[in-house]
Amino acid sequence: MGIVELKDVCVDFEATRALDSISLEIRKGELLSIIGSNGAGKTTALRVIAGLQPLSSGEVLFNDELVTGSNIEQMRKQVTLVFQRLTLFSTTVCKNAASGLRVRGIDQAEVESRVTKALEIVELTDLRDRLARKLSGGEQRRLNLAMAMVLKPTVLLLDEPTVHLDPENTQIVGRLLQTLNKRSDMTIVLSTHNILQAQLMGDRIAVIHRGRLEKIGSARDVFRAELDSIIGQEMTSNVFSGHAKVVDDGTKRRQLVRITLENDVGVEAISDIEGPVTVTIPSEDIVLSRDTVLSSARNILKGTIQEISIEGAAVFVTVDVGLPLTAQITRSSLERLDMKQGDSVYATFKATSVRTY
Amino acid sequence: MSLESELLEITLRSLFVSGMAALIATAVGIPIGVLLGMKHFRGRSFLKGLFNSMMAVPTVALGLILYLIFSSSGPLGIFHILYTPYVIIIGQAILILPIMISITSETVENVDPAIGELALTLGADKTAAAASTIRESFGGILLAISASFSRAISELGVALMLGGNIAGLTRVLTTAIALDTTRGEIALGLGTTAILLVLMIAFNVVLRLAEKRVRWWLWE
Repeated sequence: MGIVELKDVCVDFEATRALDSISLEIRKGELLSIIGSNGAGKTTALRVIAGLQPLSSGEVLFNDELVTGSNIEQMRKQVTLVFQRLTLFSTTVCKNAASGLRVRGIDQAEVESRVTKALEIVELTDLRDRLARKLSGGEQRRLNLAMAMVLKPTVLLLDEPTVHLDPENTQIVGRLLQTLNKRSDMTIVLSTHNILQAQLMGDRIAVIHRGRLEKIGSARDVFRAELDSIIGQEMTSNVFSGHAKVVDDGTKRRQLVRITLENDVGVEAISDIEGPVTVTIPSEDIVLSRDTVLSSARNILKGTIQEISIEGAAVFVTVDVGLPLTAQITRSSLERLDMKQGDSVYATFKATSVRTY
Repeated sequence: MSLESELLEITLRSLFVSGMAALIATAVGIPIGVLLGMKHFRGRSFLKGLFNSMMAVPTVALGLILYLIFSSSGPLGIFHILYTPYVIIIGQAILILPIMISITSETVENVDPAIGELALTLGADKTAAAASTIRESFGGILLAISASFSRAISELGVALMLGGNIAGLTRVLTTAIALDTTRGEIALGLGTTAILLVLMIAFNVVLRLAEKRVRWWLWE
């Protein structure tokens, strides 16, 4: 059953069409990931669902009821959006977390109980009396989540919830969302440009490209369907096309395949796919080193550093190994390894880290 | 009247006159500043530019214009308030109104628009969302009050031209300093100047101390 339905929704920003005839049904209790490249229309779609974005044309239904100017405030009380940009009130962590409950007139004891519980879940209990804007980026993101969680919304919308987060905070947020979705039956819609995150978290995936809904379905359905031609390399790093061939590794239980990618770059993976295949490699699973490291990892590729990009606590290093492979490391690792553009490095990752579709 | 009593009377009159002017400018200027900062309408830029320019109006020029308006032959001469503290209050309020409006509108406009949207998505209605934006502007609004009061209590032109520096009636700290200087009583003028500076500093210190409490109250 659909809890939110978008019917032929168009949104124009002056001459630019941000959403183009989007029709989408969000099912009650599901975790839907909206993926697409930057500027594809993911944020606008979430803002429409949250009742924050005026429509140029089309309709939004909430619980089968048409959302209009007269009932939009009522709907907003059940649909909460966590913005991509960290936005907090200039007060303490605790008061930020309680702000939504206060505007709803919830009594003090209930506010205190819900806030305490939410701060425990997002691991911010010790910081409850600190000024929210003094927190680190990851902590602020978790507080934004807590502010939404305490409201127990029917639909929780998250715009790029893990963008610019370090791997540790990414994991915390990811775990939290899955727990919320499973335990509370909350409908969660998140936008991401990270295919892996969408695949790992979402029950269903919607692909938006240039304001149009290109595809919606299970991860398998979506990724099977010409991933590259729809969004391809512009959307995320470490997505490659190749050809898989079975390799006998001496064990019967798991099938090791050797995949030949573009420019004859070969990687090994555990997969049941033979023939044409799309490969993704999580950037956080790739270890960079100056010299070859003795390990059980089956993939060790030598390359030259093409680009180093620092995003918050995370550092993304793109290594040319015959094709651009992006590894996510910490700032301290970058300093320790003293890496710079043009340096030779080894990229190491396990066969189990290579995902195939 | 002893010198001390006279100084005390002048000081209290200055506080009353400029305090009232600041109160009037706050009551009128903050709502206008908030509207200018939040609402987008035709002529908004012109109004903002006008208020910004009016911040620099010379006090003697404003004093002269208001003198002509409130003099017995002027359009508001029927009120017979020229050379009374009331006309100084009106003059100072008009003088500081553009400061109040300009700083308030600028500070409200510079609050992250996402704050209002955050409030909306947390379940606030439009009025409560606007209140969140104003609450975030609190530091700037306090600065507007501080700058306005300081400008009012330290101005000379309006108080002199409209009040006439009449002893026991319209003499305030700045007009007293001017008089002492022209009489060659520099030491007395310096003493009065010290009182004026202490008053301004004390007002701002009290305002900043109050800020924390008010901020706390705003979030209760």
